[in-house]
Parts: sequence; C-alpha cells; structure tokens
Amino acid sequence: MREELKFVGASLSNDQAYGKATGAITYCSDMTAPGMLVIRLKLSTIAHGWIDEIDIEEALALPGVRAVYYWGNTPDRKYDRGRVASYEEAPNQERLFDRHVRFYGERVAAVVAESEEIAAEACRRIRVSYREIPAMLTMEEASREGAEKIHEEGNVYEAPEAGWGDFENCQAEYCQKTQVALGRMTHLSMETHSCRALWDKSSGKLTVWTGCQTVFGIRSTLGDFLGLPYSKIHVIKTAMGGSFGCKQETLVEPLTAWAACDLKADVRLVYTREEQIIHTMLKHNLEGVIESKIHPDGKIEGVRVSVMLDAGAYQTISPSYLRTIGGKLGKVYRIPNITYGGKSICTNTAVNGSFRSWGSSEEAALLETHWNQVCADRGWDPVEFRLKNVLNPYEQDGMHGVTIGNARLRDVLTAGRERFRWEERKQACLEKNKAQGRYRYGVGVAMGSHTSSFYPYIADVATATARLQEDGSLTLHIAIHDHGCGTVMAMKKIAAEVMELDLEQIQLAEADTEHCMYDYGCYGSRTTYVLGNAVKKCCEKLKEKAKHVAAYQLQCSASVLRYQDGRFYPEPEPERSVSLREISDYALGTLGEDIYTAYTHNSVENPGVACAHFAEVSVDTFTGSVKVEHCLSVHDIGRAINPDLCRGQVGSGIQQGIGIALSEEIKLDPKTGEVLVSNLKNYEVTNACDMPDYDVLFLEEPDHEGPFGAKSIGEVVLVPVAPALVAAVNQALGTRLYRMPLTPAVILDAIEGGHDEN
Amino acid sequence: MRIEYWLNGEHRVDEVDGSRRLLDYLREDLGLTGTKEGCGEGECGACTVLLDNKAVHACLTMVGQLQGRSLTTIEGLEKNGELDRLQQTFIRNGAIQCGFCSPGMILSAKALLMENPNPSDEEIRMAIAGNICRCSGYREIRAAIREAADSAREEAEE
Repeated sequence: MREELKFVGASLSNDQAYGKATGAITYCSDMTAPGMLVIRLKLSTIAHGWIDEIDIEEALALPGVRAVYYWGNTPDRKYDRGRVASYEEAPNQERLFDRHVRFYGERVAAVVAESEEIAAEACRRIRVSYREIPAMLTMEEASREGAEKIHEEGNVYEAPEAGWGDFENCQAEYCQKTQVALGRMTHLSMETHSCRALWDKSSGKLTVWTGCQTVFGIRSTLGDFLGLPYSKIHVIKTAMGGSFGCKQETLVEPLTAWAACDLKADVRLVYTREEQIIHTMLKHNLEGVIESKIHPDGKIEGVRVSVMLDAGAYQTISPSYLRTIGGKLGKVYRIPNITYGGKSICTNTAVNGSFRSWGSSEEAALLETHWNQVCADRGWDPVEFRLKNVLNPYEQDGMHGVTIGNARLRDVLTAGRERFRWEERKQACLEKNKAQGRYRYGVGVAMGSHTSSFYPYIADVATATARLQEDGSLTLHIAIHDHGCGTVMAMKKIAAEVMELDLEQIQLAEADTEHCMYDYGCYGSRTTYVLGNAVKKCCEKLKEKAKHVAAYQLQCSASVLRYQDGRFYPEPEPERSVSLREISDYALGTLGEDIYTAYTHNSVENPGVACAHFAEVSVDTFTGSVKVEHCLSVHDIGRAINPDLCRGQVGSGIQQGIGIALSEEIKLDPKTGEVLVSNLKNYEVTNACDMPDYDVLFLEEPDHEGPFGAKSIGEVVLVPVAPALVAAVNQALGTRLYRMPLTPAVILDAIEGGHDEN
Repeated sequence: MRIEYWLNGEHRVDEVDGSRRLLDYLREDLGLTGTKEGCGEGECGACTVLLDNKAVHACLTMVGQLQGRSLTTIEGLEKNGELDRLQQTFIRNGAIQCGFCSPGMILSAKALLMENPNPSDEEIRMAIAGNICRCSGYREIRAAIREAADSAREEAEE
C-alpha cells in the first residue's frame, strides 16, 4: 500500500525553477569574470592522417592571444574521458593533442585569448598541413585483417562471451535471425559543453566549474593528468542545460584545466553547436544480429545476440558499453539459454559515447525488434507472446545472478494493453489497411527494463551529511548532479518527509568536491534509489540524535518521545514539547554537543523498472513519412517523488525514441568522413508541432528498499519507444525494416523497391 | 554607432557596433545571460527575445536593428517582484526542467499571447515550433501556456 505523504508525490518539483524561469540562474556558459580568458578550438578537416606541419606564428602574433596549444607544446600524456572512479581501468587512449589525427573534427590546436572574437580569428590564422592516410569509416573496414591500426592496441575490442545454458544445442524451433542497425545521433542537450577553470596563485589550487555528472570522476582524471593532489582540485557542478549522457564523460575539463594551470589564469571553454556535434561525442551506431529458439507454445528456449558497436576514433567507454548491452539481456524474459558476444571497433569517425540508458535501449532495440518479427512471422499477438515469457517479480536476472526486485513486467503489459485499447486499435488498423489506400496504419509494442543502482556491477555507495543549524533548519550535503530533472528537489522532499520540516527550511546544493563526500556521480539511474536512500537514512539518524538530546533536555526516557512537525514531546505530556531550535540551543549551549550526521548507504539491491510502450502510426506511402497517431508509455516507477517532472521525462524519452526510430541521424560523407549534419538545420528533431499526443501511465507499487518506495525513471523512459515504433511501421507496411532511423527515404525505397532490408 | 531603444521598458542610449549579434551584446556587454545560445543559427529558439513584442532570434538579429524599438528579454518579465503569468504557469505545470530552453520558450509564448490572447492548441504548438525542448514532450509547456491564456481570460471576465 502507498503511504500517504506530505511532500513526496506533490508537484513542486524543480528546485531551480525560479532561477530558470527568470534567467537568473548561472549555467557554466554564463560565467564571466574580469580577466577571464576564453578557448577556441581548431578542428581537423581530415578523417585520418598525420600533422605534417602546424604554423601557429601568425595566430600567436595577434594582439590578445595568450597561448596556442598543439601536439608540440602540450603533454604527451594520456587520459580517459570515460574513467569515473580513480581505480577504474580504462582504455586510456586520448591526449590533449596528437600528431596522429583520427577523425574529422578532432581538435588539432586551441587558442587561448582575451575574447571569443580574437580567439576565433587566431584559429583561422593557424595553418595545418596534413599527410593523409586512408580513413576507415566503417566497422567492416576497420576490423578487416591487416587494417591500419588507429591505436597501437589495434582497432577491435572483443567482449568475452557472456550468458548461460547452451544455445547451440538447446532444443526448440529456430527462428529466422533479425539484423538490426542503429544510426549515429546527437544527444542534443540544449546547452552545449562548457567548462571554466581557475588557477588561484595564492592558494596553489585549481577550481573547475562544469555542468557535469561526476565531480569526483573529473577531479581524479584531472589530478592524475595534471599531477596535482586531488585535494588541490575543487570541482563544482553548475546548473546544466541537459545531458542525456553527453556530460557524463570528462570531455572539456582536461584542456580547460591544463590551460588554466599553464597560464595561471581563469579560462573558459564553451562549445558551439557544430563543435558539440562533430567533436564531442555521438550516440553509438551499431549492427546487431539476434537469433532465437522458441517452442510451438510461444515459450522462449534460447537467444543468441551479437553486436558490432562503432566506438568511433577512441574506444573510451565503448568496451564497457558493449558488455553492458549484453548484461541487460536477462532483465525482462525467462530465457533458459543465452549467448552474447560482440565487438567494439575503432573507426576514423567521431567518438561515440555514453547515451541515456547505457545499453538498455540498444538491448531493447535488438531483442524487442526480434520478438516482433517472430510474432509477425507466426501470427502471434506480441502482447500475449511477451506475457508468456516475462519474469515474475523477484525472479533472478541470470546475467548477474541477482533478483530483479519487484519489477512489474507483467503488469505494465496488461495495464498498457487495456489503457491503449490494443486489440481494438490493432483490428482497426487491419480494417483500414484493407482499402490499400495512401495511408497505412499499424500498431506496435515493446517493453524493457533498466537499473536503479550499480549493484552488483560495483559496490554502490553514497554518503550524505546533515547538519542541524542553530535555528533548527537543516543543511544537507550529497554529491548530487541535477540534470534538470528535479533530483535536488527529490532529495529535499525526502529530507522534508523524514524531518517534517518545510522545504524552505532545507538547504541542499549540488555536487562540490570540497563540501560533499565522495560519490561516483549521477548516472545509471541511481540517484533517487541510492542517493535518496542515503539522504533518508542520514536524516533518520539525525532525528535520532536530536531525540537523545531532547531526552536530556526534557529529563525523560528517549523511548517515550514522539516527533511531529519539527518538535519532540513525551507521549504522556504533549504540552512539554521542544523544537529543533531549542534542541540545538541545548546541545550547543548546555550539553556541549553538535547535532550532525554522516551516513553511507551501501545499496545491495537493484530493482528493475519495467516499462512498455504502445504506439499507433500511419505511414504515408506517397512521401514515406510516418506520423505517430497515438502512443502510451507505462512505467513501473515504484513511487513518483516528483510526478510532474517524471511525466515530463516520459515525454522526453518518447521524443528521443521517435528520433532513434524515425528521424534523427548524423550522417558522414562515406568517402571523406566529413560530418554532413553539423548543425540543427538538417537534423530532424521532433518539435512541438510534430510531437504526438501521448499518454503516460505510472504503476506505483512501492519498492521495499527504495526511499518511500521510489525506483528510477530518467533513463528507462527511452528504452521501449523506438522498437515499438519500428514494429508499428512494419505492421503498417508488411515490411521488415530494421535499420533505424526509418526516414521517409528509407521507407519510400522499401515501398518502391518492394524489398525488405533484412 | 549610437542607438536609442527601450530595454525591458527603460529608455537606453548606447554606443555600439551595429553589426554585432544582439545575442553577444546582451550576454557579454549587458550581462543579460538569461538569453541563451543553443545553436547560433536560428534553429533552436533558446535565444528568443521580443522586439516590439514580436519573437525574434537574438542570434540572427544585429544590434543596429534595435534603433528606436522596444526589446524585451527574460529579465524584463518579472515586474515589481511578481513573476509574469507565464513564468508562474511554467513553474506550476512542471514545464521547466533543465531550463535552458525556458527563457526562449516563455518569450515565444509571451509573443503569442500578446497577439492572440485566446489561442487554439494548434496555435500554441505553432508558436513554439521553433523552440526545441529536449527534456520533455512539450506537453507540460503547452499546458502552461494554455493555463496562462485561460487564467488571463477568466480574470478579465470577472
């Protein structure tokens, strides 16, 4: 049963809403200070080769230019943008600048100057001559035997085979394999990447401001790269204009910090949109093959999945991402035999990196598309088929040997089927298509799951500290990184609920390495579940401490004390109550104590968050364009702490899912590797006019361990959307188009060519 | 060049480079950083400001174009310590997440409601079609604009 709560579940969800509505809040790119210098980048115009000569003299001579950096005057030291924990092993292939150019758009030089205009002009005056070598722009080229090595380690990382059982020899009917491909896309965080770094001469300390997801990950990467003690680096998380994974990695900070240290100055780097698209990172393009064996009654016996993941020019997180896609295979269905394998391949293309859901949406794009193909082939209803195979709550996730927790996989399907009127819509589409008219209609469904913590991949700990202030208000610290989805408010609501204080009485700032205890960072959808629990338990402990002080103060046993609205009172004598302010006075002034706590929460659970997406589309057979007529996302969220922003995130997941399935793609010139879509003009992102009417349904079955029952939402919203849309298009047209995005050109080609891609 | 214009209701005279982008003038010279740069080419709407009550992209407007006109930025919406109705409904409807699109989105909506106080849902969609929000599906934003329009009308009727 849901507990009735005062703050949790109320709609007051964005702690920074006032600052954002008035423009008063400061994002990193808004920061200015007297004497601040700016960096601009010179990017490569070739996809593969060596820098023969680089002439920086003319740039350096320009008044206002303070430095020009390139491979010859910066450290020949490597770092890894994807390393988060200081002890983590990472591919470690990146330098600030390298003579070896590995992709179109790689930085070859940077200018530090007194203004953006001067820096841009100086960049134009840098002359670079290259010795080109043939670029390997596809995974096939780069993984060919004898292919030129993009890095000394070679181009291909092969994941160790994962899974259980014996797919090869298991007994059931073999289903035709499905080949699925996903294109590159840009995260399109509305704010591009930015960073400010300040070297303070008096203290010998480096301060870095960045709209990031992991202040401690950035600190340790900078510390090791710059040779500074971690304690001399202060990383502060600023307001962030969206991430979706692109601000999870240490991209802008090393160069900015290095320039600040080198020049003993205050330096800022803000990327343009074009630089963000071609130079930072994109969502992985990949090719997957899925095979399965299924019994005549629809029970799955085995699955084999193999993936080729394009890492781009640097492996960075790709090997881990590749393994994670496989790691998600056991979270939804009961499958006795699973085999997973794959390769992460370096190519001479823009680096691909972390994207919202880290493998779950890719896993769903592969597996769900395959199931939908199987159902189409056999005439099975895709909802019924899934109902036969989904895991029950608390069953084991075979990949990790841990329970999926109270994941309501069955419920999201049955509740969604009813709410969407699945049968009715399905029949109506079939009926409408009988006319063989210009528009064809189809429905599609897909489901998925995601994580709520890192357990058991790594120990997942978070530490909160709470201090009762002299006036009875509360100051909390936890290394929280709000991506804009209201997690700071979620923490404050949790604290307010425990302490029975108004939200105005609670101060909680974002992550800061000097004020907060260590934390990995806010990704993997762990924030609410892990950090939220740390805050909750920390506040409970604080309350307990205050209670003991109150017992002294009231000269009674702590066991008779009750708490309400910030006051303790002995149960038999409610009139003798003391407020938190009075308790603080007594503790500080009489007992000689201070009321504060630190609590480290070690999460040893990781409940799945079930989701299902149902969509109806119409396809215009004259233009190839697809319209999403209606769709529904169902999420098993545990408990929505910020329900309004949770619904907002579902809308965002649908928008990005439409992008993956139908419209968004960063294309490269197949000959030169030049990025052909380097701005938003030709990038088809869904705007307010094209966004379909969508429905959202939350199943709020509390998780026994989550703070007030909450699990996660921020990433899972993306997971089932694209495969459901692809299924709907294929149902409408009777096709097997599995190379996303299904743009009008792809669809017209299939209609006119009368052939399937698969 | 010397320009005279009204900035958030106040008369202002300034010596400027008329060919400078309005966006840079606002952010760098005047310190009005509420106007955001999302793409620099008029595609994302994050830099939307009002020029004579019409929504324009500050990244595609030159400072010289301010001559004799009235400019409203997000900083000018709050009056006497009270937020504009749209700012209030955006906050109330959960229409603000990362917030980077919010100033431009609110000003596009403002331009719509000043010209058409009673817009249809389609007109609301059209008015913000040039403002990209990546954090939502626009639903909460549309609801906020709807509420602002409806509540203004109800107040006028009372």
